[in-house]
Amino acid sequence: MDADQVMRRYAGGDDAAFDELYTALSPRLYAFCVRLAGRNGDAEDLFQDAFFKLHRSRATYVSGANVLHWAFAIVRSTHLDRLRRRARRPEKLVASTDDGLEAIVATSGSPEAELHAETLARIVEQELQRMSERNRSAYILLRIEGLSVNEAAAVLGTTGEAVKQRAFRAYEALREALARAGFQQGSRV
Amino acid sequence: MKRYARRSPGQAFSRAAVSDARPPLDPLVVPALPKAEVAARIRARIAEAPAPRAPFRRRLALAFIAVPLAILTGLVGSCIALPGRHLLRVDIWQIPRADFAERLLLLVLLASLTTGIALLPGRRSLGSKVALLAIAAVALAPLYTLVTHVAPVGTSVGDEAARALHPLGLPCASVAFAVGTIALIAFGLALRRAVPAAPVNRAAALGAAAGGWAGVALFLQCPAKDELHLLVGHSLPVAAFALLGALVLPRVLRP
Repeated sequence: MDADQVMRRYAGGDDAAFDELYTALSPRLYAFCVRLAGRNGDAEDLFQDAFFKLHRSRATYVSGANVLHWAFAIVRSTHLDRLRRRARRPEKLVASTDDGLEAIVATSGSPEAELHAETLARIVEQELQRMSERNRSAYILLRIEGLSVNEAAAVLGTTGEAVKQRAFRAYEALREALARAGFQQGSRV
Repeated sequence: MKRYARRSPGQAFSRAAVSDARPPLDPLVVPALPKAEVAARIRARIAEAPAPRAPFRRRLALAFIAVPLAILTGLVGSCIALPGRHLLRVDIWQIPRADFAERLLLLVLLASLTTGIALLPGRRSLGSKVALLAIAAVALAPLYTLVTHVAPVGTSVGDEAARALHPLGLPCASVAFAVGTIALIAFGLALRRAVPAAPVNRAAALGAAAGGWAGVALFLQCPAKDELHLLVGHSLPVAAFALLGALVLPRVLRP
């Protein structure tokens, strides 16, 4: 059974579908949270809040819609809420840890390749956190999550043209950051 | 169970000096997993706060039903609260039927279209396209003004009654406020926690829709043809509701 069907059951009030839904959605949603929020503690809180909100608004899910895209929109809305709250009540930021990176970079190659990937991931992560939230979310949805321009525009609540521009700006920023670090664009190693 | 497959970002970066025979690790495509206790914490929170199970379609249907009730409440309420005010315009039976029906139909069509754009969830469950929402929010007031101001319908009976009306149409504005507020509350409740994307645009469009229905109520009740009265008492409240929606509703609409 696919995630959309599971969500349909959950939206209809079948509480038993929660575990299936969690299993189906959590890897992609958590990765999205890590990339959006950066620091791992924040990503976990964001994931938790977003999943809770998904549960709270489950009755508003329309059967036939892509549940992942709907969930992405909830995650992003939750993230913006947290940013707004933080802007109103600034809190002391904890130094960024690499836990999130470690979660993203799975080790399966040689030490040299792992080091290479980790450096690359660190630069990408740092640059993603440095850019504006708009550019970052557009880039993540288009280039990492693989959504189409129209799908990303619906999730972000903007036009396709704006999504393309934001993702392009993010891509340029990443390209420059990687070039500064000595990476060159083109063929894989 | 189907799991969503991740597409490759398609662009690879490599450090010139590094070479490795193995395929590279792509840091952007390896999934991360939340810790096991996170799921337990989410389950605990969910257990404490069961979600409402009222079907969304029923909520939307109730919002549509609330519109005629809002108009009726506004019109009847104004008769009671404002001395000398009639339930319907005094010249309603004298105006040529075709003219009156044509204008009323246009206004109802405008308000219905705006309501549909603002309220319906679309096939992605994320609402109408943001450009459409923006057009709905911005265009309704000028179109309403166009329909009601250009060659306004009415008869000499209505003109006679209109002389007694407030020159700026402040009582009309209060009727519009009452009808629009009831409609806006109904729309807000229907979409409560249901708008994860573009809540401000959606809220503005909902406000415009509420304003549109308030405009319909005014058309049914007020026989005024005076430009200033129509502008301040009728068109301004219709436009103000889009702004009011954009300011007040987003918090209610977000999940």
